[in-house]
Amino acid sequence: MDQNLRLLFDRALADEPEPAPGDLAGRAMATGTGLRRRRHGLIAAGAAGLAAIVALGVVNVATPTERSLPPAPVPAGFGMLLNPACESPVRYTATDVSIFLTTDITDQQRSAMSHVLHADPAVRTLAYESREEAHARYQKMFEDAPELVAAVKPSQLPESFRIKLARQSQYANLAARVERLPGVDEIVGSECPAGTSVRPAG
Amino acid sequence: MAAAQTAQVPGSPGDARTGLVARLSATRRRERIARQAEFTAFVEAAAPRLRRTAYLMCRDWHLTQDLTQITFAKMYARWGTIRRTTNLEAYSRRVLMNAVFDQKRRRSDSELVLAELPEAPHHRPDDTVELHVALLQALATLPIRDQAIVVLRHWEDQSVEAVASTLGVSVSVVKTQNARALSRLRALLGDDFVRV
Repeated sequence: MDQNLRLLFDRALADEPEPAPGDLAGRAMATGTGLRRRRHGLIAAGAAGLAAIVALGVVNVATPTERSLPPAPVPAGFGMLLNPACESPVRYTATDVSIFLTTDITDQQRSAMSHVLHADPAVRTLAYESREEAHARYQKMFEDAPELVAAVKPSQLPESFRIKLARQSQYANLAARVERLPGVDEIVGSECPAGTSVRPAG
Repeated sequence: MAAAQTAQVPGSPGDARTGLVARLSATRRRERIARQAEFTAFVEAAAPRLRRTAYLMCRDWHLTQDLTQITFAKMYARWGTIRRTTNLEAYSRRVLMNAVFDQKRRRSDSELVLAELPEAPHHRPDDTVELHVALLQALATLPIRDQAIVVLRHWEDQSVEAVASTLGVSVSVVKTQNARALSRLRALLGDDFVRV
């Protein structure tokens, strides 16, 4: 029965026309922004709230308790540097790990980190991705959206180490060893299908 | 090594504060761009599936386009909150179905309702009507929520639990309504349906 239904639905969809031309996401963003504004009412109120959040943020970042916060989800800026075929962030089922570096990392810190990672038993393969490489990938991913490409410069994208784990289940151990190294901004575990890696293709 | 560590000691608190403010505003700008990029990627990935589900629900490609557009716009309006939810696909299904229900409610006064297919077997769609066409016609005679249950269960391959949470009804409602809807479809489509 289910089989039949699926088959018939498939057939019913066979005459699907080419999607209407134009930028679906762009239009949705324009309309969506309008919806959001309407919902929020006064933009000024929002701005005041934002200022408050920024002020709080300064206090939070300035205090050294930051490290004790629970692991956050993948921030958007890093999310787009992950292969969408992989599931991120994951901990227990991670096959790949991305370590994003802070913008002010020194050469010395970077090479120290590279040494530590090379020697780590949980690491099967290790690749370094520079800002320029990240930017090249970003351009490739969003080649259909020139305004997005134009808006991002290499200096705005983080450099990273991309790791294939020797075995699944080693993410937590590795993350614990790495997170205190100077220059580490964010560690993200990803579960990638066999034969793929967390670096976006292209 | 000791010398390197000394060099990293941050400057006065004031310096650190100014740098942070600059960094935060740059970060905010970067995040907005990233958010748009992320959303664009989501739309590209989700649009084909969403479009087909919408079509099965309304059987009109123009309306499908509108419903898809509404769904994505609503999601973008809340993107800041929802982009970190684990299951954006499930969320998009819920938004789409709500858009379908809204649209149905708004049009129900003026809508030209397809005549209910009579259950008598001699009125069964004849052989010249292709079975998939007949199926969509039969589907259209079901209550809109039952249509959603059938499409989510048997086209999107969603579990009973997932359908229940998408439509905001209990698991037992999904089960009973699904069974009822299928038997009605079977009655409308007759032997052909079973044979295919």
